Amino acid sequence: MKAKARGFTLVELLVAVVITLVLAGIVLSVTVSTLNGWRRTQDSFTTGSQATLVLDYLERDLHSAVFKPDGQSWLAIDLDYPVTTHGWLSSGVSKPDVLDCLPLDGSRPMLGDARFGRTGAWLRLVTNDAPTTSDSTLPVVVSYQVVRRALNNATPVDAANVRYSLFRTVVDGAATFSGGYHVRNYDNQLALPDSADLLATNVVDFGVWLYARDASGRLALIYPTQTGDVSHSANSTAAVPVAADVFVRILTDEGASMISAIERGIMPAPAEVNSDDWWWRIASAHSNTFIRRVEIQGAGL
Amino acid sequence: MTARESRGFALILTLSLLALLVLAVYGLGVLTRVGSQTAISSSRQETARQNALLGLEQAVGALQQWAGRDDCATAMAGIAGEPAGSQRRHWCGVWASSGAFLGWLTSGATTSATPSLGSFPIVQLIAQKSVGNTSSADNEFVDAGKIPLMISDASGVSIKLGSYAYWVGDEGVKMSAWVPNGSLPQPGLLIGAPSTPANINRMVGAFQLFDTTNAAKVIAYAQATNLAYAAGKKLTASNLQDSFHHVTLTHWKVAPDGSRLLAGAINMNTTSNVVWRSILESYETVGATHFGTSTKRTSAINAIANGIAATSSGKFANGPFPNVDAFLGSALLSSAVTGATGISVADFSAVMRPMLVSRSDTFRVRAYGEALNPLDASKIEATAFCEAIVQRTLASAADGRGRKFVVTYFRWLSGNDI
Repeated sequence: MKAKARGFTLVELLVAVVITLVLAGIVLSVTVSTLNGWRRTQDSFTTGSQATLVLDYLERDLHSAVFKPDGQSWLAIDLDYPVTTHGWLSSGVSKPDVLDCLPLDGSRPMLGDARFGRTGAWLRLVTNDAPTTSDSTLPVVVSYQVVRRALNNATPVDAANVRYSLFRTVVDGAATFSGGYHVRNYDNQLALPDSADLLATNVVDFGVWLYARDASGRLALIYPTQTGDVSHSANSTAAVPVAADVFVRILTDEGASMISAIERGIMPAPAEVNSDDWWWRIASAHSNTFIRRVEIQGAGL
Repeated sequence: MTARESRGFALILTLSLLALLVLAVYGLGVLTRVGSQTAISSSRQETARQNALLGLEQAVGALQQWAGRDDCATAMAGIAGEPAGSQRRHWCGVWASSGAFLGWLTSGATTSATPSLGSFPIVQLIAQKSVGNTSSADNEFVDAGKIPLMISDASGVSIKLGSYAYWVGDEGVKMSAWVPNGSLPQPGLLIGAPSTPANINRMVGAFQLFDTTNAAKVIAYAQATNLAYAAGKKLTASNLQDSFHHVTLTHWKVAPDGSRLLAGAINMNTTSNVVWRSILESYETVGATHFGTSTKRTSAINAIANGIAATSSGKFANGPFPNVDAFLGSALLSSAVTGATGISVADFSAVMRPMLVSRSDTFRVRAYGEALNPLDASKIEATAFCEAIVQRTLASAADGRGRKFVVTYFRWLSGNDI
């Protein structure tokens, strides 16, 4: 008995090693798969939470949008605005300027595949906003735009902290009343959002499709009408939308780090891949897209 | 190292891996739970908003069903005898040209011509003490009934998921504060600011006399606080509150020939003394004959405002005057304006007829939605309030329902807005 306890035969050792390896492999596989699931869930949770916040704001603002077909732009959309005038940190930006805001799947437009240029859409509208200083909901001008900036205020700029973020800026009720309802009049004021206006980080694309009702009462797309359509103004009865599809593409944390690495030159494109394709391949693989249809309630008189 | 110790090392390794696994699974569970709770909370708020929008659609549908035709009449419930201070006085009712009562445009209202609520829980859509002069009876809040939204589960048991409510307010029975140039039914005659009460005089005066440039920019009632009513003096929230039941921004009416919208006409089916003061004082500014004294004028104002709610003044019981001619030819008007004054009905009619209407075309709708806990219907998980201005337009509605109503202005309301 004592001799048996002191050692193992070669066969026993081999069997033990094989069994251990198999068990370790199974445990490792389950662990890796669980961790991947956890990461995916976390990514989905993070991007989903961001998207819910963004889309809830957009929905509320678009629901309450105010229009008057009087020649003024009560709602305006512009793509491909000059990034330097919008406070973008332009050094290192490598997001390609791909404008395909009306991609077709056969003859059917697919918003989920759209790309709204380097900047995404800059949306301004007059809406009824919940009060901050007043005790009543008031008409205000609101702006949504993507800006590429550092998330902290370090000097010099901490390149690793530079992210694409969505900003929502509000011109308060008194200033809106005083300045009027032509939203383009506020462009200089709205172009540079304050850091307090940050709504969501890692938003790399943002776009809007607008619909009006045709003679048969069906929804008809009024913006964009072609894939390179970069501008819209709701300044006439025909241009006032009754519904909107809003679209955001939000990077996962891992995707944001990878895009940051690409833009800092740490993760260059492989030789066989075009650098623009590389940026979008990484962004597409590590982001989620979210779309919500919003009915605009007040069509004006 | 003994064989037992070797086996112990494997155990530690296995336990560590298992612990890691359990931790990851637990983390996943927590994340999922937080995510699902966030989603549930967001979903219930969304449900409440959707229910409020359902209430709004029901209100617009009721308007279209009953008030789409040109020949029907609308009125505030004061004309059915609801006294000042009643939370149903500002309900809006619709009557056919024959005088037959069609319905009250408030959720939960019974079909009786006397305004009353059925057996529904109540929600205030104009909150108590939020409008009117709190020291007088003329500060009516508005009740509506909450209509339950039910589904049946697989076993056929009904589950209450939420409810909605709506109230349609008649904006045509109020004075229009702002009337754009060229849109008056009677050029040169504007329903002006009543001399009293002071708060309402200031409100209308700011729009029509003192601050007309800024008045053109007002698109929401609450923005009126940006207007001055005298040098260096701006309207206050209190001015707006007192004016709420008597002043609207602009009542747009479909012109008699259906060709355009006209601004500023007043639906005479109102029991507001303030509005009648405005009408009679407007007459006096241009009419050929006059009341003589303010006492006589006040007496006439009260006679009309009170008499129009009575059942024996030449109109249908508990109902409105179905058309302007019926009012101008009524004993009520005749006795009120000629009894103690030198005013003739003919003079009054010649001046005021174009400005008076028996139906309104602009309405304010407030709607409410709530989402309940599906497991415990006594728990309200989320609520939402919204407000819309609904306009009857020149376009025809489908199925012979008269002219089409559209929402021209919409906002979600915060708690302070109710």
